[in-house]
Formats: sequence, C-alpha cells, structure tokens
Amino acid sequence: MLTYIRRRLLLAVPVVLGVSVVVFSIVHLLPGDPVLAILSGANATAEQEAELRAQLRLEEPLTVQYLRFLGRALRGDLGRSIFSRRPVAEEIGEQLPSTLQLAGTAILIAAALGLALGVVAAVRRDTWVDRLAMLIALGGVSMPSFWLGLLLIVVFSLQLGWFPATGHGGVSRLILPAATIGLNYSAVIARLVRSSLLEVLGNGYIATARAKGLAEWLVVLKHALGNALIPVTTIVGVQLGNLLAGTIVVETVFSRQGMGRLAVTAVLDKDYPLIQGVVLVSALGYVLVNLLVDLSYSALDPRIRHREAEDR
Amino acid sequence: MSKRCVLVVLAGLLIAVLLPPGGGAVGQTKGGKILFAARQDIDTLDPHITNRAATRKILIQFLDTLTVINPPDGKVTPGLAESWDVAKDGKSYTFKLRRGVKFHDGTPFDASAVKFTFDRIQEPLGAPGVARSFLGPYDGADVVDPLTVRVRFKQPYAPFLRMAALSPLGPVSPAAVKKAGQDFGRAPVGTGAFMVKEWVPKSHVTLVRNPDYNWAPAIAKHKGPAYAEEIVWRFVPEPTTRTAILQTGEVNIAEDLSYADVAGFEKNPDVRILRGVPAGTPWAIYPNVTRFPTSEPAVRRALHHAISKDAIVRVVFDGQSKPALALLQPTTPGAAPLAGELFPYDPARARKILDDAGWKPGADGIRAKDGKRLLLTWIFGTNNGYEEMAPLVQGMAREVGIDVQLREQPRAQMYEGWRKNENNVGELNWWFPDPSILTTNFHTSRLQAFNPPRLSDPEIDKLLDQAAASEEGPRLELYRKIQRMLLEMGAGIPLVDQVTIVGVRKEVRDYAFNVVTFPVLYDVHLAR
Repeated sequence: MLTYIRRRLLLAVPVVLGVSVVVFSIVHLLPGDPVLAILSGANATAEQEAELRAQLRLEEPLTVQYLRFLGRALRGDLGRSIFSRRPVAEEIGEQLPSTLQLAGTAILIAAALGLALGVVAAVRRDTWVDRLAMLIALGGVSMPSFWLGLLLIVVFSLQLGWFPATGHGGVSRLILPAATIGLNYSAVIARLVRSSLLEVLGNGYIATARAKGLAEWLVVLKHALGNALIPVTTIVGVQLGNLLAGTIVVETVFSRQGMGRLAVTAVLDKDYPLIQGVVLVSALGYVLVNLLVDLSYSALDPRIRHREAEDR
Repeated sequence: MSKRCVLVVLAGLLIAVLLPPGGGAVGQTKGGKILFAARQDIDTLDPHITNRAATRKILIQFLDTLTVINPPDGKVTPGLAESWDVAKDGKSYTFKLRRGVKFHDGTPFDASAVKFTFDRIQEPLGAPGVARSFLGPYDGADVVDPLTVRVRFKQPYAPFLRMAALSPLGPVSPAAVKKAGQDFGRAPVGTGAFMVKEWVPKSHVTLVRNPDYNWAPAIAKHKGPAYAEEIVWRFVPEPTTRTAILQTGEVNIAEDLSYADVAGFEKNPDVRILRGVPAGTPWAIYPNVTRFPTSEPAVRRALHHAISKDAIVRVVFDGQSKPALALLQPTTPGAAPLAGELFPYDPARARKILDDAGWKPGADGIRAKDGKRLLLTWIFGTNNGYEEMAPLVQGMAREVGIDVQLREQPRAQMYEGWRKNENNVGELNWWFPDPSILTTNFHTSRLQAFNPPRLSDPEIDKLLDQAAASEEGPRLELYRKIQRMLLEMGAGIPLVDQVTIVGVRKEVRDYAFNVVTFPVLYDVHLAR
C-alpha cells in the first residue's frame, strides 16, 4: 500500500510542474501588450505605465521569469496580486475555505441523492420507479445552475423565508448553493450507479448469494454495491476536482466567496501572479483528489487490494 | 415640603423628561445597521491605488475631502478646507483648513497631512490608480502653517477645486500609512463619519460610526456623528439576487437594480425607488473619424439622424431614463443640450444626406459608393453596458441603408481595437463632476488612453486646453462652444442619459446621492 501511495505522489510532481509551465506560458504568450491590457480603462499616466513595466520585469527572457516564479512558489511565495498588492497566497487562503465547504457539502448531497436514485432504479429496473428516478435525474442535469440557483432563492428565501440567500458562514447559508450544485451533479451519479449496479448484479457470485437465501437488500448493499461504486468514485473524484477549482456561477448568484470568483476576476483583470497562483492551487487540488480516488479503489474492491499484495 | 413645592418639582421633572435631548438639529433615531447590497467587488481600499467606482463608493464613507460639490447646483463648497485662494496665474491654490479635525487613529488632521497625501499619490505605488490623473500637473505642496497649505501645479489647473472633492484625493493619516506600509489598503485611515472595521474580500466591508465626528461639510443635513452605528457593505454581483434580498430584508439598501425589476418594486409598499442623475457623460457612441466610412462627415451625421433615442429608452431602459441631448450629462456644469435641435430623429433626412453624398442603395438595401459598401464595424465591450443598445442601433441604421457589423470583445481588447483603428464605433460613458472630462474623450493627447472617436483636431485641442486654464464662467462658455462644434462634426452621438436606480426599504430615511450618485450614508437614519 505504501509503495503505491509513494509511487502516485511521485507521479503527481511532474503533473503539477507541467501545469505550472503551461499556465505560465499561456499567460505570457497571450497576444497584446500585457501592461496596456492591465492599464486599459484606467486613465493611467505615462509614468504609471513605465512603473508597471519596470515592476513586472517582462523584458527578461521567459525561462528566467519562470524559474524565478518556480523558486518562489516552492517556498510558498506566490507573488503579489497586481491589483490588490496583497500576497497571492493570502488571497487564495481567504477564498479557499468557502470553496472547500461548498464543494464538500455539494458532493455529499450529489452522492447521497445520486446513490439513492441509482440504487432504487437498478433494483426496480424497468418499472415505473426506474423511469421516474431517471426522469428526476434528467431534470437535475438539464437545469442550468444559474437558473436553478435563482429559482431556489425565489422559492426558499423569498417566498418561504427558510434560508438566507447570500453570504457565508453557518450551515443555513450553505444549503441553497450546495443544493444547486448537488442537484446538477447527482444526475450523472444516479445514471452511473444504476448502470454499474445492473452490471454487477448480473455476476455469478450475486446469483450464488441469492441462492444462499440472503435477503435482497443484503445482496445489493453488501455484496454488489461495493464493486459497483468503483467507476462512480472516479466520476465523483472528477466532480470534486472541478468543484475545488471554484464554481463561478453559484458563487455569483449566491454572493459567496470562492475560488471561482477569484479566478474569473484575476483573468479579466489580467492579474498574472494571481492567475498563476489560482491555477496552480486548483491543479494541486485535482491531483490530491485523484490520489484519494485511486486509494479508494483498494478499499472498495477486495480484488484490487489482494492483487496488490500478490504483486510484492 | 409644601404641596405647591411638590407640584412644581413634579412639573419640572415632567418637562425635563418630555423635552428632547439637547444638541443636534432634530432628535433622529440613532443606531441601527445599514445593510448595503453593492453590485461590484472592490480591488483595494487604498484611495491612491484604486481605479474603480465601486471602491470610491466606500471611500466616501470613511474619507473626507478638502472641498465638497453641492449636487443641486454643482457648486464647490467647503469640506475639510474652510476657504481657499486661487493664485492669479492659476498655478497654485492656498487652502485654510478646518480646526479640530482628527483622523480615526487619533492623530490630528493638518497641513502636513494634506501635503503627505498628495506627495504619496505621486509615488510609484505599482498599480494604476486614478488619483494620479485627478491630481493633474501637481508640482508639490507647502505647509505655510499647521492649518494652511499651498498646493502648486506645473501649469494652470482649473479643474482642481472639483477634483479635490473626489475621494481618491481625500487626506489619509500619515502615521497610519507609515505603520501599515503595503497593507494600508486593508486598513485605511481617514477622517470620515465612518471607520473601516474589516474587509472580508469578495464578501463584505464593515464600517462603524466614528464617535468623534464633528466636522460634517456645510451641505450635510446634520452635524455630529452619523446616526447609523454600522454599515455592512456586501458584494452581490447578481441583479436578481439584489432584488430578492431587498424584498426579504436581508439588506435594506440595494443599488443598480435591473430596470425590469423597478416596475415590480413600485407596487411594493416596503420599498422605495430612488433615482439619481450622475454628472459625467451619457451613454453615447463615438464614430471613428479616421477610419472609412465614418471618416466622412455625411455618414456620421446621417447615423445620428437615423437613431431614435426614444426607442432605446423604451426598449433597453424600460422608460426609466431620458434621451441624451448633450455630450455631457445634464447635471454636469456646462452641459449644452443641443442634440435635439441639431440632430432630431429623422430617417428621411438621413437618407437624403447619404444620397447627396453619393451613397446609392444596393439590391439588399445597403448603400454603396465606388464599389464600397457602407459598412461600419462596431466592436462592443463585454459588460460595458451597450450590449442591448448595439443591436437596436444596428436595426435603425439598416433602415437608412447603413450596415453595422457587431462584434463582442472583452473591454481590454476593445480598447486595443480603438488604438489599432479596427473600430468604426467607439462607446464610453463616465461619472465625473467636471466638464473637463471632454478632454479625455476628444483631446489628441488622450489617443493612447481613450478618445473613442480618434479625434485629432488642433482647434478642439486648443479650446480644450484654454478651458482647462480659464476661470469658471468663461470656462463653461468655452465648453458649450466645444460641445456644439463636436456635435456638428459628428464626433459624438449621445444616446441616453445615465440614471442610477437604488432601492431602499421604508425604514431607511434621508438617503442621498452625491454629485456622481455615489451613496451618501452620513445623514441616513433608520426609523423604528
């Protein structure tokens, strides 16, 4: 197990490095003068333009700039945002907790709802229960998050007054935005759980378990579900990785802090240090989640666990 | 004690209890929180670094300025400066400062603080703040005595009294700047009626009442500390969300409500809609005078006649504004509302102008001359506000045989497009208290930064420079003359006046707009 983890971590390093190179190059190879882009619409004087140019040190060769960026990043210094003058690490540190809370809660809602719908649909396949569950899933994925979020605000905040619509802090402010994302994402999970479970339920050892006289729910939940969940965890991992990069639409509609708004503002402002920092942190998040997903395979499927043991 | 004594004492106590507490104009209810839903996020709270209107709306709550502009008549009135003298050559201003003013950190406000503030604006602070361009040709300041400061300029700078009323030039505490260094933008210190308590980025800014505040400007409705004890300034970028939380009471003031929601609010007894007309320039388009075919004056004039401003007001603004008749907003001093008489909506006249200029309609209705189509390229900026007006103008132009091609680009690229001369139609609108904004829009020296019509006319330049150096009366006359010339040559087509729409819940009283419709929260009190 440990060699497995160590190996995956080592493989993660070139991935993150590669991302940093790509993001650095893109941002610096964009057409147009970056200084003029930063200053556009700002009514800046010629002196301010010259100062910004000198400060950004953009005339140096790209490799030198990249190595400087990398050296600082390894020490935790991601530079300073051009617009707020604050350390990028601090800016990210402020927005990250809100995104983590939202991502975690949303994934829980999505997984719970998706599992419930998927299991019910698989066990009662081809009945009206199945069709209804899949219809609900289709509805969930078809509703644009922008529209769904506003709808939830109008119903649950404006008309019923159950939850506040905006802000951060506290569970009540988390429910509506997490539900918006959760409903969207649950659809994919539901369909995948259903098809995966159906496939597993067709296996020989399931027939054996049934023949032994085990109750159906025990067969499904104990023997079948574990194996069925492997492709599902992959998808959930991808979704979680996406959410860690921020959800600009939900953050805007619900006026929440988050990495989405930070990233979009940085890109629109052409705030290079901030863009680089945000992409790097998001990439790290993705890598971490993927590692956790890989590890979960061994926990879910005993065959994988034992195969690893045999490899040694 | 005798019975009469007791009665007298009781009467006295009764009177004492019933009389309102002394001091202050009227006994308004003190206390309560202002919960403000703002549209845009801010970049910093440092007045010398910022270039966003969103930031300046917060700056005016915790910064005072040397002068204050009185919105009803646009006159410059005393603020932190009680009086001032302008030198004959227009190159220096001597301000006599108010006595007894303190910064939020307890340090005294004096002439050296003013000098420190202006000197700091000139330093390279690394970010393109507007303060530097507001300060103009600043050449230094002299501390004549603790309450007298002389500000000097390299050349005559007539707009300075108005610029000194803008928050980016508000005095900051030298002690606080020295102590905070780069982090001054997180915890700024001024002399205003409110103090910054905290800024949670992308979420909100909290301000608390300054209990020592005793130097309100003459035009304020009361003296002494503000009534509200706290302001929570929340960033709510989505207009529908702002509407929703104003109705639920999650906030009690919401700005920039969408025009379509206003009708619904008019029927809501809990909410009042307030409208303000900021000074500056209206929603307007600027034909590029150097690029074919808008390089032809006939094309520019025909385009102006072809546009029905009433239709734009109806369709895009839901009737919430008025057609713009000048290149300046009506509340800007020196605005010359001539567009109505010079260029009324008249598609027939537009067609005649184009016919006379040799533009003959082709088979598809679009005109052509010498084999070239009458094709205008309009690159409009994302979220710049013209997204709905552009297709409407395109339709109206087509009626007279002009083909307008629309393309959308992020604002930064749009400005690049201007500089590279790829655009036939420029779009720009400002909030600004002074007619000298016309220089930013039309002077040759601004071609790199703005000047959307790409104008480079020596006579216009000369008149603009002259106006910048003249005294108030003659200055405004010059600006009126300049506006007439600019309209006649078709360098600018004003469309609709900018209007600011703010919703306040019924318990919020005495909300006021400043000259550029930023919120003045000093006099606001919350009824029970």
